[in-house]
Amino acid sequence: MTRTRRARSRTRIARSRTRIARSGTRIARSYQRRSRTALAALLGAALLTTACTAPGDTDSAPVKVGVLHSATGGLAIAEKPLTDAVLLAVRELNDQGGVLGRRIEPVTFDTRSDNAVFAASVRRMLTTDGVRAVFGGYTSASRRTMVPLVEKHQGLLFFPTFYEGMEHSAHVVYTGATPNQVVAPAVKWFLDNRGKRLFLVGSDYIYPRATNAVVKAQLAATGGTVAGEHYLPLGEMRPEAVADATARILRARPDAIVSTVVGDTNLPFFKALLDAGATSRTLPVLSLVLNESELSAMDARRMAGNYVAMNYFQSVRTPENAAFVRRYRARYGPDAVISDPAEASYSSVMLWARAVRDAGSADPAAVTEALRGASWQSPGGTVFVDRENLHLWKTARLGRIRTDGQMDVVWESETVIHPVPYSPFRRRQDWNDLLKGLYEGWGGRWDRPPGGKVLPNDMLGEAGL
Amino acid sequence: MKFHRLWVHWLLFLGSALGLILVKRAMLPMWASCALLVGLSVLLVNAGLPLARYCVRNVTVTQNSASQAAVFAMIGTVFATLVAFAVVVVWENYADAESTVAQEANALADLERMSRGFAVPVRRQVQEASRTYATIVIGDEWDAMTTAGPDPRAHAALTELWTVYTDMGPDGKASPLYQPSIERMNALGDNRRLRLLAARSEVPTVVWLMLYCGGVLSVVMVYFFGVRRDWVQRLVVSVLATVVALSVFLVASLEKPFGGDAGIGPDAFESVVASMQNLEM
Repeated sequence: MTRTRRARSRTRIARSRTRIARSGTRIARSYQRRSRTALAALLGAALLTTACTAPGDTDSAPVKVGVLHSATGGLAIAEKPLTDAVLLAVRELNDQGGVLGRRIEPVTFDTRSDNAVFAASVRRMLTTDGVRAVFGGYTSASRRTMVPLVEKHQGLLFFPTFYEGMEHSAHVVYTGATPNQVVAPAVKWFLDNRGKRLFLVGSDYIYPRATNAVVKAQLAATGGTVAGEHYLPLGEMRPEAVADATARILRARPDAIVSTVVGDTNLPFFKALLDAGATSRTLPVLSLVLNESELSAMDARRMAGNYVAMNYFQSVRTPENAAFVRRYRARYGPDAVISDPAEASYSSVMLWARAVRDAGSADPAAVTEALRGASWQSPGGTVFVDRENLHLWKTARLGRIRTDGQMDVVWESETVIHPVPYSPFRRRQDWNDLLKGLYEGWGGRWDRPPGGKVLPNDMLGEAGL
Repeated sequence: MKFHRLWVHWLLFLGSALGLILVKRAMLPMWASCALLVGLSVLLVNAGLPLARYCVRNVTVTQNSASQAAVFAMIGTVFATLVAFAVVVVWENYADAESTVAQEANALADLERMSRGFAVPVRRQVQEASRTYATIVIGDEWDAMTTAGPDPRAHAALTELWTVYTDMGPDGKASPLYQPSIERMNALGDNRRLRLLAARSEVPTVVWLMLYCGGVLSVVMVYFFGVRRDWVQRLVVSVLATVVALSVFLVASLEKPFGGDAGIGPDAFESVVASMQNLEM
């Protein structure tokens, strides 16, 4: 009896153990299920956070900005001061504590004066490096290569160079001038002070072609005359080609020359003019592209007495500019020279930083909104970001070249000038057609290819008026 | 009149005086500002009444009541004249500013309309510049002009408009619409200057001083009228304080034609922008 009881008792204990074991298994399974759910939720949250947050966009991580200029190749001389100006601005901001309590980390690529490298670099910066703004580009071709990518990846590009206009993107802040902010006032000054017959000469790429189209429309509306128009291939150095151009100019007997000749071609061009007896007194040249950086690399004595139209000159006499030049030279040496695009690059970074503070975020969309209507006391004067087209309201200046490569400011606009990317002399469609015609006429590029055909001077005709 | 717990009256007196200063400085909605100004003024004079009567014996007040009434009548007349003068001046300024804004907007609308008689490039330039001018005035200059003055961008847009006409070729200058356009440009510039001047205009400090002194003296004179019942005297000073506070509020509201809830808005410009024709860009 006792054995039977013991046996029954053991059986009950065994069953109980089995139940406990089964129950334990259930609890364990339940626990596992819950753990898996919790893990999945954690992973999901982590993935969501990662998806919503750009790389490096944590509270304490540095804010990355891209600096896209050429350190090598043909454009290096012109673009190096732009990189220097951006890095100076970043350094000054970091010395003051950065933005939103975070350091600014510049991500710099050498674009090697190659538009394809500009495109590849900006894509990488926006997709892999997690930069919140890109400061870069110099030529219109580089900008036009980058803009579609910046738009595609919802980035923000600051383009610092004066350009031909005829463009507007909600993802680009244009801190250089449009033609109505520099070219039109300078041409008006020449019409008032030097005569009505102007000869247009330039290098054969998009900026001179498009800018001269605007100048021609302005002359037609204001009673000026185009004495002639001629384009030299980009980078032309052959004396006979340049001499042919100057001979055409002299035959046309203009009152002045409007030049969009770029780079080293200016050396043989000004030499040929002097050789032909045309001095700055008898036939003044208004250059729409030369700046102090280029003049410092050339013999400025040949160009002295001629004129340059820009928004900024290093010799501008304001306390802000004096301090800026002092800081720039303290950083890059006593002989460092500052050009208009370099000043615009510096202003770009400062405007961006102010917008980041105002927006409370480095998110490109928030920064763009904060930029609309923003203003800043730049070395060249107060600038305002236009609410609609994201170009800057700037002061126009006309300088006379000195023998040391610096400028004497001979005229300055009485106030800032409203940026109008599409010149009102023609319809927007006409300007877009002009650009399309040039691009296709040059075989899918923004300059005349070597040995390529010379496109007609009047690509628009009078139909657009 | 009983004079126990005078410290409570002191507290109320000083508190309401401080409150009045804060209300004057704060940017409150018009109705709230008016209600607070009247309420605090009534509180101030009621708190001040026992303090004033504590200092002067009742028998003295009763003995000098007749001469006091004569002085009060004189002060009241001078104060009323001063208030009337101040109100007329600020109201005229307000009305002038309203008219100036309408004329400026009209000049802009006329320019835009007359530009349709010029060549298309001129028309496009005028439309671009006039739209920019109106947009900047509405969006940026209007709110800031009383404190920060004119917006450089509005000045730039006006200069741009001038440039269109001064740089016009011989054909454009020969147009019969050219001279009227120049006249409208002048009207635009003149009225802009008048608007900016009106935005900074203020009632002179000496007038404000007179207004405040007149109001305070009137109330103080009423304090020392020999009135048998306290509540009657409190009623009289409260009514007087309300009238004085409302007078001051009226002058303050109209002092800056473009500030506060009663300020002139950019409606005229908004109407011009809405009626501008959109040319094919």
